[in-house]
Amino acid sequence: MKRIYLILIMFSLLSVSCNNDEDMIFSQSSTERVNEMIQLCDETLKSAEEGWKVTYVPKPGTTGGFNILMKFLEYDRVFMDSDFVEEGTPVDTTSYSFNASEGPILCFDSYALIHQLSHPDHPDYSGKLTAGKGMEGDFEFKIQSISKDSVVFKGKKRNNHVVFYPATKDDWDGFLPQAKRSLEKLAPGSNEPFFRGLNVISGDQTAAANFIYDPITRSASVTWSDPVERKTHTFTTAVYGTRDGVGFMPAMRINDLTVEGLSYSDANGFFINSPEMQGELKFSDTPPIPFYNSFTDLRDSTNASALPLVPQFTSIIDFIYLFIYSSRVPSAYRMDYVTAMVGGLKQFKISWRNPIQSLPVDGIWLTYYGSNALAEQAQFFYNVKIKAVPLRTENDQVRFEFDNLEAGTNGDFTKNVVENWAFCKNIRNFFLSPSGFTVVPYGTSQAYFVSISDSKQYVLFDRN
Amino acid sequence: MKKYILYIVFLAFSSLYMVSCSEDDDFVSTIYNTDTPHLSDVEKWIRDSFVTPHNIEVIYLWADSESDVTKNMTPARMDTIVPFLRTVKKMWIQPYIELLGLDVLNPILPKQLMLVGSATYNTDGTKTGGTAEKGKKIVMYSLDEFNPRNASNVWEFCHVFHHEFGHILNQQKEYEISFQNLTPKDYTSAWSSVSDADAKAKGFITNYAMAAPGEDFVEVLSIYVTKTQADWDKELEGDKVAKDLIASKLLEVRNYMQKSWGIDIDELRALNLQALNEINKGDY
Repeated sequence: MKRIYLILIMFSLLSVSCNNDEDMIFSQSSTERVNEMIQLCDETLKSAEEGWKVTYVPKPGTTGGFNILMKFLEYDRVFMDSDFVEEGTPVDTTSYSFNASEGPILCFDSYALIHQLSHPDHPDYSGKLTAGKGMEGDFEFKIQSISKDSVVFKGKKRNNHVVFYPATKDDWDGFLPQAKRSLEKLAPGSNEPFFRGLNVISGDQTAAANFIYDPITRSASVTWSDPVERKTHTFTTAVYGTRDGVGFMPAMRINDLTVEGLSYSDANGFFINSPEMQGELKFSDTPPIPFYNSFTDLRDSTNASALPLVPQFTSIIDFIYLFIYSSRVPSAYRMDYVTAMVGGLKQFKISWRNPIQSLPVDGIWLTYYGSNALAEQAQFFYNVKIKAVPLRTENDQVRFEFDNLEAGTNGDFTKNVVENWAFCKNIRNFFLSPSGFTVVPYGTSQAYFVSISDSKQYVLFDRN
Repeated sequence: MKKYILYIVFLAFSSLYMVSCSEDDDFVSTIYNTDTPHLSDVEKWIRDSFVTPHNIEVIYLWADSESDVTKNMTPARMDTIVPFLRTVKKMWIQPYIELLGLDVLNPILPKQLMLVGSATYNTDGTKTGGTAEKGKKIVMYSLDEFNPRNASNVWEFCHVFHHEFGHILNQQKEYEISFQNLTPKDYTSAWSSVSDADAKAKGFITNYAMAAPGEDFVEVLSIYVTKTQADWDKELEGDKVAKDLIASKLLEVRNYMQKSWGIDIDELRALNLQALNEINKGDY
């Protein structure tokens, strides 16, 4: 009996039936559909007589606003021009192709202008972009929808929307240099004060914000305050150039008002003048808004021994270029800082508690980190105990005072540097300036300390 | 047991007769594009210089499936490809052809050569110059930095090619285990934090040689066969113990190349140096 069951089971396993009557959801196979989409995309891209215009945001919230014009030519060649290369840079056609690695994909497969936005070595001296990452843009795009009016893609790595719109003859005629110039006008000059207020009126509604534009990443950090809730809101947006000003992607939303862009004229600077809205962007020496609790927010109450404020420098190159570019260190001390680095002082930071656990003195410390050799990590540190004196009830302005206590660890070298070298005294004098600082949030993870006596003197810290 | 096996065999055979094949399939022409591709000048040059004589596919356009998605890399510039490949032929393939002949060399050569424009960064901040995979593929990075007018830049690429081809040779014929016993305790994944001088003091020709015995082996090979005797001697200045260790490693490399491949590394070096010299004069 057992044997018969066994035979039946095995028999059933070995009986195979083929049935070709399945209903297909699609009338074509997936390969055919992908090939069709690729063909349609290629034909649409090639058919636009004046090519396509793209405002590309490589990494939303971090980098963005790069205008590119493209013409797709026979033999899968593409011609590109952009507003992020020097005018007159000779541009060759390069190649593109399609593949089906994650659905139908458009790939710019040999080096073209667009690859500058994904190159790991994008030249950046501000420390905002790190080597190995660059702008983190895409050059492979997943096809989402195709029409004569727009072709919509998604970046393969970043997954952000990228829309190609048909370009016009007018776009090829001077648009890119004009967009580039608009952005150059927006970049703060070295003699401008730190603060930049954006004031907007729409009907009976008003809104005010502080606006910080970074020309390297083409992004803006915008902060506005709610006086009722005593809260500060900060967000970043990509900035792109237009013929007569700049646009924001996504549009800025300040106190329920939406700002899509600003116009520019030499006489009025950046402004808004539409039937619905008027506004202006102006530099000022004093904060245009209160940054409620921006200083006290820096202290992470859940981790009292954390080191929340650290200027981040990733390589020696960053330090060297400080001297040309950086807004992280007051301009008067940039050379000092480079010298300090070459001398072995790697960085300084403000911590909320003595980082040497064996010294049980809590409080705020200004710490210098140093090492004996140029290429080595910082091994020694030296602490200066400081007190923070809040300057107003908004808790966004603070003065530091020396607390008459210093402590070095295994670092006679660092101690010697800190106590005897002029540039360390300069750095200390900057932090202990009696006029104090306004603390301005920058994005969600950084903060500027802006000198109250001279807003051109400021340092950018990363919250750790 | 035997009976069960018989049953299974019987049923397996009988089931073959129970399969029905419907003949309703429509056979249509292929869904793939079978048009003759338009070959660019670069593609024609590669076909004539790499595919036809050596059966090496050169992947110079971005091929996502061939690369690491976690890294940020960009494709090479089109106008770099042919000049770069000319120097590659001259400073790597040609010397080996002269020593081994085409018939012996071609089966050893990797079957794919992939060129990437940007560097590839590792999580520790170091960059990888090239990689060799399973004896069949060499990937070369940082073509954006290629400058045939700069002798040290050309040397760097030459060094990386001989390094990676060293791996390919090792992947096909292993070297003696005795090599690994010369400096067995100093191999470390944290090689990048060791200076070249400290590495030399421990018996390694470069800090990267400390990464693993296999890297050590091909570093000795690739640096020896691309430097003049004077420059090689300069590399070994200093500590006698370290110098003796590197000399012992070189002897292992010399014996391996002779026994496994019939190559005298001094002859290989002479040919490489001549090639580098000519490239520096613009002859490539």
